[in-house]
Amino acid sequence: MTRRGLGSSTILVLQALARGFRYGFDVMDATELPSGTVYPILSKLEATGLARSSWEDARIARREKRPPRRYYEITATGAVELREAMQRLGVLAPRRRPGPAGRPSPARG
Amino acid sequence: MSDRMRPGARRVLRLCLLTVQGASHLVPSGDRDDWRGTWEAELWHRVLLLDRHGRLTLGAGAALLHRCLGAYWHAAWVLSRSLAPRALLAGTVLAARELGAAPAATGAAVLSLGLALGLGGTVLGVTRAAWNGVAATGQERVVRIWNRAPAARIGRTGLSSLELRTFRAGTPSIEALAAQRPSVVMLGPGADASPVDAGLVSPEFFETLGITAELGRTLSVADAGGQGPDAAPVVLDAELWRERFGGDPRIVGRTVTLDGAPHRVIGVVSPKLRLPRPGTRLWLPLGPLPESPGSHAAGAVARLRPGATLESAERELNRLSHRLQAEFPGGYLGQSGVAWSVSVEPLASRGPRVSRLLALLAAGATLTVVAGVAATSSVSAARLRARRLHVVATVAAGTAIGAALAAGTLGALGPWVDGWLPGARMAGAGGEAFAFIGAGGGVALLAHLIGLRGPARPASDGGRSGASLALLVCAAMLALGAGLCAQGYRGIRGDGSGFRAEGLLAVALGPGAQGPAGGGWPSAVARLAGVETVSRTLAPPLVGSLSGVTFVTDGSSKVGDRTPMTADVQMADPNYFAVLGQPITAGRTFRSPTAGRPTEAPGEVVVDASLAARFWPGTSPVGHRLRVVLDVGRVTDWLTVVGVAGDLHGTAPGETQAPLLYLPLAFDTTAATTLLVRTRLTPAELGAAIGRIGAGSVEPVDVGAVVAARAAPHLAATLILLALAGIVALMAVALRLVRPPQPLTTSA
Repeated sequence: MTRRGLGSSTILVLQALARGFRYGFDVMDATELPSGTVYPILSKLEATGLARSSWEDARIARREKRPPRRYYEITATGAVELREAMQRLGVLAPRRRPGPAGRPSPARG
Repeated sequence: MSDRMRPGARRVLRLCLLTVQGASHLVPSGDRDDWRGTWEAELWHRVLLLDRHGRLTLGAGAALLHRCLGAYWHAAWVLSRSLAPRALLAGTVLAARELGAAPAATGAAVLSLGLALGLGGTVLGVTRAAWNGVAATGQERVVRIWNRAPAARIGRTGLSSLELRTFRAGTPSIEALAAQRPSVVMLGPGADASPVDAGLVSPEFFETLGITAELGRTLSVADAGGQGPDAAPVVLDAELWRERFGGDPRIVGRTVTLDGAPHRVIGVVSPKLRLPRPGTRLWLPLGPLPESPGSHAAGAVARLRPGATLESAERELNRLSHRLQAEFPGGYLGQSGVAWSVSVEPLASRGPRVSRLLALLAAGATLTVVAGVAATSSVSAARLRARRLHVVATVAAGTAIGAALAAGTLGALGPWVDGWLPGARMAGAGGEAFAFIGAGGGVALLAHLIGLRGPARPASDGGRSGASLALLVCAAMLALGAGLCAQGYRGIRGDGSGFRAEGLLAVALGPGAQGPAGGGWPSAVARLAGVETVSRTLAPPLVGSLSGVTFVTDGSSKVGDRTPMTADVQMADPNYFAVLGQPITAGRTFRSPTAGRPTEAPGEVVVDASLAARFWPGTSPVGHRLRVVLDVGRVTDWLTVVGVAGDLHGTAPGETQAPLLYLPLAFDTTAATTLLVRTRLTPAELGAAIGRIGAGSVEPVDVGAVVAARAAPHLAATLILLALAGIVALMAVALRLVRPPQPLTTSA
């Protein structure tokens, strides 16, 4: 993926990351993009250095008796790219207030 | 699952996890664990959250499941990324390193797969060639017609000329009917002459089969009456035309020598025509048939009318046959309640022996490929975990080797297949063999890729043992095939033919050749230097005789009182068996003609062992009597069986010589003379010597060379199969001895 000409879906995902949505399903809720679109975009962002991923603290997962989740964060480079892309678009995406980690808003399946 | 989860939540989670698990099979194994972990963790978290807040409704569960379907798209995307050029290049470099690290294991995998596919493709190609029948338009309506007398244990036999005329005119289900009779002719001039299987056919033959000439024309009604534009016409098989005449485009109109007489080539037909019998290479007009209703003069092929069935044709033919038998009771030689019946068979049908052989070959091909796939899977999959590209390269290399092997073997075997299997034709079989190889490679690839799933584990000894055993079974099958071919070779060469072919020359002297005074030609030739013994006969052994001659016994035969029977007839002088080296196993040969009355035949006959066993099982036929119907109006007096001769053996696998009666030469009215000469001289030397005593130009034929030529395909097949068996056995041993290193634990 080139650094120039980010697609609209990619911009939405970057925006969601920038606004604190870190987990895959949360990004899907925030962007209203299908799962088959979000995860490939996240992988591409990671591959191009615009985002990075990690696994959450295993203690949190153990406490909740579930496997550890993978979370994504926008990098500095990604933030710059997002800003430039937004300027080119001249469109502000609707703001969504991120809830507490792991709690989606609005609630979705 | 979590104890705090409600049952409904557990069900939803289980269903979602199952959905994602299905998609995970698309993900390359190196990425699979991370990919599944990502998805499953999200699903766990989401289901727990919704369940905790009591919001895991039916709709929410459906939406979650719908989201899981996106996992397939995601997985496909991950897979496509792994096939990107850069990923392929990286995989290739890695695969090359692994090849260098485990050359023996990879080599064993490639070679065993290649060998298995090649052998399987070859066997399938040969099998398919055997099913290539007559290339006739509307072949499905072409049938063969036979006479039988099951109660008398008489199998397929020909029809009389009266039956042929009656059936042709009076059977509504039959559109066309033609007569055919197998024969053998000597093609070529002089010393270059060699025996060639020929077909004597009625003029409707090619039209009945729907065969048109590739060059020139086929026989017509005018050719049968001798009124045609070409005297002594002959139609050639396309392969014979290419082999013997170099594919000469000017072959039509060219004169060829058959049995020492000139014949004009009028046309060339498809090489797939295998009538009257497999191996037929040229066709001549049949000529007039004996009119005796009891003479089973020729076989018949017919074309059914559209809409007619085998049953309707058979019904109509039997109605006519029964009427003829009622009209000519004497002509059927006192059948005494044993009725002849007519049977109709599809042309493309094959005897049970050949069908069993073909089924065995097809099973062998399948087993060979399965063994090869098992062998390579065991060796390579366990070793080459997470190296999908290497697996693809291994299978591709093995498939290429298999295709090359099959191409080379089929090409080499092509000329010999005709001698192995009746009706076989290699042309067109190669395409199906390669399709089989391609399919086998696909199966091998699938097996390998499935084997790549799951965690890496050490190579399985049990798997390698099983594959090794499968390869040994293949080697044993190949060795068995080599043994059968070797048996066929031994059966033809040397005394296995039933006589001593080496050092035996045949000399055709033409009609009316009486020879010098003082005993005629046999005596004159026997006095030549270098000649040991001489016999006079109708035709050389395994080359010619009177076929399908009817005879009847004096009631001593076990098959029934005065029941008509058929056999081939050879006519010769009393020296015949001694000159040939054909043993007399009981009794003696027949007497010489009475001095001063050379044309008066002694009332004696010799039968061969097959005929004796069939009609006098468990007892000796010596002393019993029989009568033979040689032709219209020519029925012998009662002849006494004076001896039993050893059987002659055929020259193709499974082919047997028909039962033979040996009659004194005085019964021969063909006026042709063939001398069989046991000598140390070469054919050229003998020909020159005979020419000097007044026979003119003669060109003896080396009977030993003819028999050797017929045996050569069996020898070639034996050697090829033995070599392949050895290679497969070595592969089996190598598979057990070569221990692949432990699999890598890092992913691509």
